[in-house]
Amino acid sequence: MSTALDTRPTPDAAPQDPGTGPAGLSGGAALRTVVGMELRQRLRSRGWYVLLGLFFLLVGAVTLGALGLRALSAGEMTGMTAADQEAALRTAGQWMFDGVLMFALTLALLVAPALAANAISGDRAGGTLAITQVTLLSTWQLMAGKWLAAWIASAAFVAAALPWLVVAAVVGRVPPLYVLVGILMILVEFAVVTGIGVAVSAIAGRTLFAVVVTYLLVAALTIGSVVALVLSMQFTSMTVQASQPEHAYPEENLSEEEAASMSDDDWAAYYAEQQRQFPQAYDNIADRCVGPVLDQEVPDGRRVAWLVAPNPFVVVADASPWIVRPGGSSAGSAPEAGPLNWLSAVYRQAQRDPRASVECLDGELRGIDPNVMPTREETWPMWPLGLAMQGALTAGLLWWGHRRLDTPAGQLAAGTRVA
Amino acid sequence: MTTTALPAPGGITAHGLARSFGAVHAVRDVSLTAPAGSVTALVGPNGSGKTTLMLILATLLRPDRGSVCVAGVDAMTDPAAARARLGWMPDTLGVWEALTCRDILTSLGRLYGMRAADAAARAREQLAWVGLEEFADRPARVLSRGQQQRLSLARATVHRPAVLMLDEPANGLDPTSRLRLRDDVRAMAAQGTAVLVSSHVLSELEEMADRAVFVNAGATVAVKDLTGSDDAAGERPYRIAGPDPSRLPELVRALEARGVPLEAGPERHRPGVVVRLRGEDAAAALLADLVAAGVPVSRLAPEGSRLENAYLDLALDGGARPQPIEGDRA
Repeated sequence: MSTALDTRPTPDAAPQDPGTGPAGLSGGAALRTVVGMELRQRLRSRGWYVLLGLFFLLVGAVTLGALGLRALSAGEMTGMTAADQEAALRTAGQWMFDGVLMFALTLALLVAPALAANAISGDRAGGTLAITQVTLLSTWQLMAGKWLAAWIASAAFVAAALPWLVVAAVVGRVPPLYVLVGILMILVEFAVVTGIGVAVSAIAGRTLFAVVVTYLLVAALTIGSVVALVLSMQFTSMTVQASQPEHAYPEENLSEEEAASMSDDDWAAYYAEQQRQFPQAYDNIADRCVGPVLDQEVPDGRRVAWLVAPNPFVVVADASPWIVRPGGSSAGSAPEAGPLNWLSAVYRQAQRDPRASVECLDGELRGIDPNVMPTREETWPMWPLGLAMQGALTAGLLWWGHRRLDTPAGQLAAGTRVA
Repeated sequence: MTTTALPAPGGITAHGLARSFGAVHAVRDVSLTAPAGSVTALVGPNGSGKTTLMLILATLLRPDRGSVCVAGVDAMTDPAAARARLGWMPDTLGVWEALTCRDILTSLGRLYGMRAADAAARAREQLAWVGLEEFADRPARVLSRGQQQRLSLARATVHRPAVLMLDEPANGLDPTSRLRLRDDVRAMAAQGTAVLVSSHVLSELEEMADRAVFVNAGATVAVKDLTGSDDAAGERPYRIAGPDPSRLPELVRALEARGVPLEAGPERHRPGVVVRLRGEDAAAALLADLVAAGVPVSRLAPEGSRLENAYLDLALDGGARPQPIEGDRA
């Protein structure tokens, strides 16, 4: 009937015979297909690999550079024993491990929202969302696939950092459990952030809006939680009665002429000798209580300590075991290994009864060392609470996103087209 | 064949559909059938609710009222079963730009529940069918608009749907691609697929459609069969012209003398006048009469397509037909 039909390469049109319809779609096949499409569609770009390569090089440069500097300075210190040098290197390795872990987490927190928030709104803008929605794919399968793909993409940053994490862990003799927990926890945090991103992407009509909202939510978790804790502690102070602690120093047994003729080095040597002779006078512990016992306002974080729990950095830090180094200056199981332990301890400080750290409470000299961190035993772990709060937020957003995305659609967001 | 109470188990049956977005009643009352083995055109002006209706039929949008039955399955209560039986090509083509044509077809086949090997074989088959084999492993972004549209058709039919819905399929296509599309659609209908095509390019719909459903302001206003011969009693416009444009007044006088009302005058590149006649017999009689009276006639042919006339008769966009002229009585 027309020339177009006659010139068809395959005039056989039999393949279009309408069938009875295919069988059901299994969950595994659905996930694999969505993840495969998503990874190929969004990540099959040179820019992505350049970014990963840069991340690998940057982390490597920081790791090697810091270790090299540390080794150099350790070698220059002639007074150092071999044991001291090893301890210094070990501390450096521990710091590098914590640093690389937190750097990977930071970068993933920056990249994951953009990746995830594009997942569904990007398809909506490209017109491909509706096409997948008329298949047998369920809305939950679609969201799960997008989530998994975004998580895999952000986990690539951990993979890129992994060689350096291993180097740092070996140098720092970081316990295997600590390494395992650290990597596991940042992968869990990636799941939270990408889950939020995918959910917001399903809720929001526009890609840009989804990206901005996801960044705001991540900022609320990371920065907002800390700000909330600091601010709220101003309003939850308690009143204690205490007098003024005072430090007593031994008298400087020097004449004016002697003092005037001493060089800086002389002074350093003098104080070193003083500290050796009178160790109690030069510690940070108060030596006497003076003045009247008065009302004092001290911050009390016990009721608001949970505010900081959903912070991704706090969750990772707080879940990491505390490493107690032999020969540490502080008593008990207080941590002093790396930044993660320190971060955990600082935030757990908010859980303590403020009276525990008030010197000269009721005018009584108690001999409290202000540098001593809270022990694990006297505080409660914050990370399970943090995970629960993050999980509740993510689950709530995903549920909302599912409601928005599910078809046949009951309601449409203002200005959105389902096709 | 009909074991259920449903009138058309192979096609689409929709009853009393309504859907509003806030205060906007996009679809107020639409009922239509698209029987298996034929091509049904969905015709209406812009904003008449065609796309909303297509979205409801494609199970993407829930109607406020009404029912949709796709290939014997109630699409409201069992959307998954309906989706397995329907193919949908939206007006926005929606191409995964970084994926290859093969990837797209294979993945979609998988999403329709095919096994990996079956999906791969089906993708090959579909690529051959739409003539995109040489682009099989190239990203879809390199395709031209016509090729993307063909890929989209292959995608919409990857699961051998019993019902195929095409929303403005010929948008932006060159004439060759449009002819191909028409042939593809006709071929599928010939094999028993129920095809529903929405468009406002009427000439193209006329080429491929067996039936037309007219919608306006969110409601079905008419259904017209396009397969049969012209309705003998039906009036339709004819354009009559002589070889010499300067002798038009003579023709006009001859027509007026015979009581044939004029409907439109000459237009650019379209000489002569338009009159309304009842069927082919009336046209033949008028021609014989004019020739016998010595009025030179070089052309007497139906004006516009049947679909176009039906569309204009319904005054769908609220406007009237081109106003009759008083004739050139100079």
